Amino acid sequence: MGELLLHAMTITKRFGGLTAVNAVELKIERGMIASLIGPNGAGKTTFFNCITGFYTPEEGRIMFNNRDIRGLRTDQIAYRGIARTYQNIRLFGAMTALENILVGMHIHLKATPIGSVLGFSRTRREEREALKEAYRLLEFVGLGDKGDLLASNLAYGFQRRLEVARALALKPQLLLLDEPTAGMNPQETDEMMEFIRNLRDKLNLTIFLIEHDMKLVMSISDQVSVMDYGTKISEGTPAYVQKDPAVIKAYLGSAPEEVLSEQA
Amino acid sequence: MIKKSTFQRGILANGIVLLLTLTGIFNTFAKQEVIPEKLSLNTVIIIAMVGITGYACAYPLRKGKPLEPMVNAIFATLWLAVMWVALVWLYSTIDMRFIFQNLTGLNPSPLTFGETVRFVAVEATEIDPLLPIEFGGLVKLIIFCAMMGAISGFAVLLSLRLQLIVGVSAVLTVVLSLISTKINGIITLPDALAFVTAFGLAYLVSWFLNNRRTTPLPQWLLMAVGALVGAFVAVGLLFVGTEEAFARGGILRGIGTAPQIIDMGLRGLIGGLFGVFALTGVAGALAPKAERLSHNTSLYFVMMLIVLGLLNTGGRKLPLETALLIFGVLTLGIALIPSLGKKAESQFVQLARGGKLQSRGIFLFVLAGVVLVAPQFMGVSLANNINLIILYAMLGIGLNVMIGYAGLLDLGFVASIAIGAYTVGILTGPNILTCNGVAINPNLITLDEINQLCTGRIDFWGALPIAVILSAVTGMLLGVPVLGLRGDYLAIVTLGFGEIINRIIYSDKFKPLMGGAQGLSPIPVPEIFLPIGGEEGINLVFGNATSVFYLYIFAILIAIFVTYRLSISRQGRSWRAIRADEDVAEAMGIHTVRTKLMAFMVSSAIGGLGGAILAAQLQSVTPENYKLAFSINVLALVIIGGMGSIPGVILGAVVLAGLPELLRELESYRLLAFGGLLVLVMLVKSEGLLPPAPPRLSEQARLLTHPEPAGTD
Repeated sequence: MGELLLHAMTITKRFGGLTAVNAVELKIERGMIASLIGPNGAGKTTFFNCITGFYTPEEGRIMFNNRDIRGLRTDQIAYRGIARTYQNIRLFGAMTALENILVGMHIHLKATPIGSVLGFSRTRREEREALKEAYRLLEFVGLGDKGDLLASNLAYGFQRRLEVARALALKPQLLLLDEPTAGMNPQETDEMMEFIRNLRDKLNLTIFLIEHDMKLVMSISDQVSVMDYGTKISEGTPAYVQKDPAVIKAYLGSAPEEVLSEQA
Repeated sequence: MIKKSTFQRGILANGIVLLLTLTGIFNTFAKQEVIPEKLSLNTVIIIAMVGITGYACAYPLRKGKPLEPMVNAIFATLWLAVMWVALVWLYSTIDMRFIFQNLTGLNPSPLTFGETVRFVAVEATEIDPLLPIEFGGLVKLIIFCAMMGAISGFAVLLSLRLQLIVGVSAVLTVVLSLISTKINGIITLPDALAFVTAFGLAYLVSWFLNNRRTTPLPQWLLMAVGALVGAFVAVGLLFVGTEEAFARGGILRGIGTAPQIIDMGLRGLIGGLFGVFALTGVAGALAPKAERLSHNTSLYFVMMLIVLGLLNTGGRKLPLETALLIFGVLTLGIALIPSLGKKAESQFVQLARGGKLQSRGIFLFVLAGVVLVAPQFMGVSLANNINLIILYAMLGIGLNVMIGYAGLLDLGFVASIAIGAYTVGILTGPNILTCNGVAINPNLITLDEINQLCTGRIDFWGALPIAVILSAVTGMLLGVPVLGLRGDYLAIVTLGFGEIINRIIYSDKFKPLMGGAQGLSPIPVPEIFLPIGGEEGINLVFGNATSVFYLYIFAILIAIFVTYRLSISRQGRSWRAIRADEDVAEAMGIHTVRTKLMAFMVSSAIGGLGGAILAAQLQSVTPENYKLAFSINVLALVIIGGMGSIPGVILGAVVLAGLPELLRELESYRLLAFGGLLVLVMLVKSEGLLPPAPPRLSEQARLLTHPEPAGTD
């Protein structure tokens, strides 16, 4: 740890008169599990969208591996090594689970249209390797027997996992997870927590997640950042953030501080 | 008892039937007969109307109480009957032709079972006695409708498979009998039976040998047995057939026309006979353990041969017995072949790699042979229809890349077709470009003068690649400004492109180059010179429908090959990802601009290829041919067939380009049927007739990842 992977420098994103993200400064070190929390509408997802290039922030810079990625297209940012999942699952519904992962592997494949049509041996070999790799990922997320099912026909929990597998297929350096446990019951949430920890430990990923489940956030994060009304109001270890009066105020108005720590 | 859904569907059905009746559908088809003197097309239409109404109303209730579907269906069909009775009464009381100009001949009509209905007694004249009130025909109509309701109410309770088999066979029989004059000259019944015997006997023998043994027979032995069976049939034919039959062509019409074989005389014919039948036998022997596609295709082909042979027996008329026989053959075939195919496939997967390749190779060889001789059997008129189907299928496959794969709604596809056609027209014909800058009017100068002046012309084969490339490049250039647009906006802009291209080829400004409203003609016929078979060689001329067929087959094979390969590759996945969710696809690292441009390019190239061959076939190009309707036709067949599915698009082309073409007489109702079918398919099967099947990669992927054999038990 210690090497800076992502550094968002005073990012501001406005929609008309509304400032969704206001001069947010955020650092993520390699190998970390970092969390971003905050009440609904605090600007968390907008901040994600700024990092992945869906939105271009009006001000500030986004340094990834010490290079500014602000203003790059989404696909260029994907090439640099940032992959993400979505709050409301966005799989390619009409494609099979395996194909979804193969699409995720797009940037690592070199097949050209001409090569595919003429069936160059190089292209065929690459396609076989890709298939193999995709199947491994499918097994890794526990969907080994569901490769031929359409993504839209998978159960909710499986869809979440497939979305993660698709993001992993990009072999990213930084994985952004937007509410990975939304809509899950406590047991599934625990499994997901274990899964995320595994990703970091086994694949050496850096993970940045938005989450509402405080138990999960507090137990797996190395660093927690808190946003409210578009600004970052607190940042630090889970223990520090839980005690920060500013955070408690944002979540509970001016209620006693025990409530939040009890949840954790 | 009577459900709400019955009322809803009943109103819809009644509305449609009322509309069709008022437009005079029964009058239009009055002279058409499905089975002479037994079954008129009008009767078929009435049966279909009543049957579909009853079925549609009973269908939602099929899982409810046992009698409910029937009661509801009868209610709906009686409702139809009452409406028709009212209509006949109105028609007989007032002259409705002031409003509905086509409405004639409703009384007597098939609706009244050919009987004249009188609601008031007519005064006697000197010659005629008093004509009494007469409504027997209408009573029959009511009884008939009730019966049809009962039948359709009962039909929904049967298994879906059975319904499908009988339904499809019935529809096919009617269609076949309607087009019988067109296709009854293809093959005689004895010829067809000879092939069917060779194939079927070999199939049975091979099946028997396979089932009797625990260890499978080697492939070569099966093939040898098949060849023997085929040769056996051929020997039999030599005894049965007369020399005259061989001289006439008969079975060997296809091969017999090749000049070399004719030169070889009877010996050559007999050799050809043995060769063809041995090959048929080999195919038959391999079929029981062939890939499902090969197996089913060859068996359906055999079924088609029997049907064509049966049609041939009747001359211009199709007797009832033959129709029933055809119906039986179709039912049997459709019922049996798929399950046999499943068994064959299960045997096929156990073959070694070499055996698989061998089997595939032989079926491909047979298929190639069939395609090669097919036009010799078809005749010009049928070949014309089939060419049109292939052209539309090919264009559909091209447009499918845009709509089905990449999800880009393109309404200006005709632009690429026109560019392909006009490129060929310009480069091969006399105009200002090819005639060294001299503006000429081809109608006013002689051929000699053209030959002297227009030295810049090139032949079709030189113009074809230029046409394809030019279409691809313009397609891509047209794509550049609109890439940011999605969905409806893109559709409108592409619509504009099609119109712009049409305006350009129409315009007087470019008249010296593109001929303005008259277009360009003549476009020379494509020829290939083969330096074989004697000193003078063979000159293949693609001058009529039966030879242009080969060009179309060649072109569609290229189109299928290219688009299929692309669709299962990285490129195809990118297209489908963009179609599903453009933002996410981009976040996966897909360059959306490049990917979309690729779709524009491939699709336009195929459009250009189609246009180029169309120009060569028609030997002219006129702006009239390249209008919006062309785009819409292609679009419709893609949507009806199934977006993103190549077999679907081909089926769509058969349905939309083929049927109206074959049912020439339906002409005035073609557009109505077109629209109606679109609505129906979208309602019942919104993903199209044959939607794309998701690729099954899992098994292959598992074997790649875990190389040990799957069934270690």
